Amino acid sequence: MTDLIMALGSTALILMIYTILYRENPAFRIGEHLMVGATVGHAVVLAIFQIRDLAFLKVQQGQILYVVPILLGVALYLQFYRAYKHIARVAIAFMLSVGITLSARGLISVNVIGQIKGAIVPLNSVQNIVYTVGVVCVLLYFVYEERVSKAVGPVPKVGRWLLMVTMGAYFANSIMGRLSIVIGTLNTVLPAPNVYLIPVALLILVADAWTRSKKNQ
Amino acid sequence: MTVTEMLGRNYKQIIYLALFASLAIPMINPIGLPIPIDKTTADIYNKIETLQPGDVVVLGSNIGAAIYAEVYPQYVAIMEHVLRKDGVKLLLVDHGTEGPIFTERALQELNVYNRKTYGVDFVHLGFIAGGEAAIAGLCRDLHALLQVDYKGNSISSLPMLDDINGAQDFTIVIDFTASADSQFWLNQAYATYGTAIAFGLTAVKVPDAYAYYTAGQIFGIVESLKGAAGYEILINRPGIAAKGMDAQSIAHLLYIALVLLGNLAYYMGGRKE
Repeated sequence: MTDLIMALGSTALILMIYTILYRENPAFRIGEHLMVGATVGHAVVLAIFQIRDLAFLKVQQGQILYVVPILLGVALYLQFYRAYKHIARVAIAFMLSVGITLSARGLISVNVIGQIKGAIVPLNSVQNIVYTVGVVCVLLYFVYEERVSKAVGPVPKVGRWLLMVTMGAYFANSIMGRLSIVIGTLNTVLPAPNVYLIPVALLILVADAWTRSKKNQ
Repeated sequence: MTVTEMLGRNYKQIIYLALFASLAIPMINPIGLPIPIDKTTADIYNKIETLQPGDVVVLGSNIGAAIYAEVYPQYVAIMEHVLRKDGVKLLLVDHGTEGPIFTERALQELNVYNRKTYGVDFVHLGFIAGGEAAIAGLCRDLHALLQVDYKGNSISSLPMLDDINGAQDFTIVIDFTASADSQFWLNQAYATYGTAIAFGLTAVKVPDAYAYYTAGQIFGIVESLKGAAGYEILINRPGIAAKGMDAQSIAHLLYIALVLLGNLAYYMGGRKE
């Protein structure tokens, strides 16, 4: 019984959200607010558990240094008091510096050195030749020095075309992604008895459209 | 009414209905179109096939309601494949607040709690706040980072984690996401410890990941629902992804037809700005 109520509830919420395709309406807003509320509520509870597990438990076990991140975390809230705002900046600066330091090492290794290494391939297959030509053309497209642009002739233009093909692949992937989301929701909506909620929803929409047209007359 | 006028009208509602029909009808009456398996997906399958008893697989998840439809079927298919490998340890970690909900859902769906022993064959660490710093901590020393797992068990009480300290002990990591955590795994596990990494991604994020795949920095990518469907076929367990591929193919044909019609209207209408 609980499963049935859950299934019908989730289907009803999905249909409420999809009513935005008809027009902005209270059913859509209820669904939207429930979604946001549930997500935020869950995130807040998890955040409290995280503070407990990652900091308080360790302090209780005698790892006293964990008081420092707790204090820095509290300091972030001083952002809302003009007199103590500068203390919040210390915490923000600390977070930024830790974040940048952590990423710097990996980013250079992965996105610079690794990518350059990956771009050097033996020209023994059509795929590798196309790949190498593509890399050179696109890189030359981003060279804005006039003498170089003149010397390489139409190569940057080829780079621009290759970039446009890439954008096309991005856009096609976006379409595929959006359709996958609809398919995912249809997996919930289409099985019986959930599917019987679709005609109910359609009837409500038709009744609304009819009432609105009467009002307009 | 001329053809140009007819094509120039706004058919928003009709397009929505046609899209709904093109998706719903093949899902109710499947056509059975063949599902191609990408090399990027097959690479992950082959890598998992080579795993030996004692190897450790980390499945990172940032699955939430927004990407559930695309990424969750990938997660379930790969988790099932890993579970079929006897003696392979499974470590589950979540990078988003909604992650634990879907991880537990997958564990229930695959009946993992009855098939395997918690703490011996698999562990769910739960959500770890901190983004890249959390992943860096996990890779360096997970015992120093965490006190308890998702269920509140002490980390030291879980026998599986006795010999697992950090990224040097992870055989492979597969991250399921639409966010930056895939990059964090590359920065912290691959770049620092040389751990083999693969991604399960939403379609929008796939073109970014190809740069890493062609450069040999990741060993595979499961691409959206299409990749999940391919993986379900590979492990001979067709599920919701394979079921949705007919719908996806028909809807893509509809999109192509609409793009062609739109261009026809554009050129017949005198290419007005």
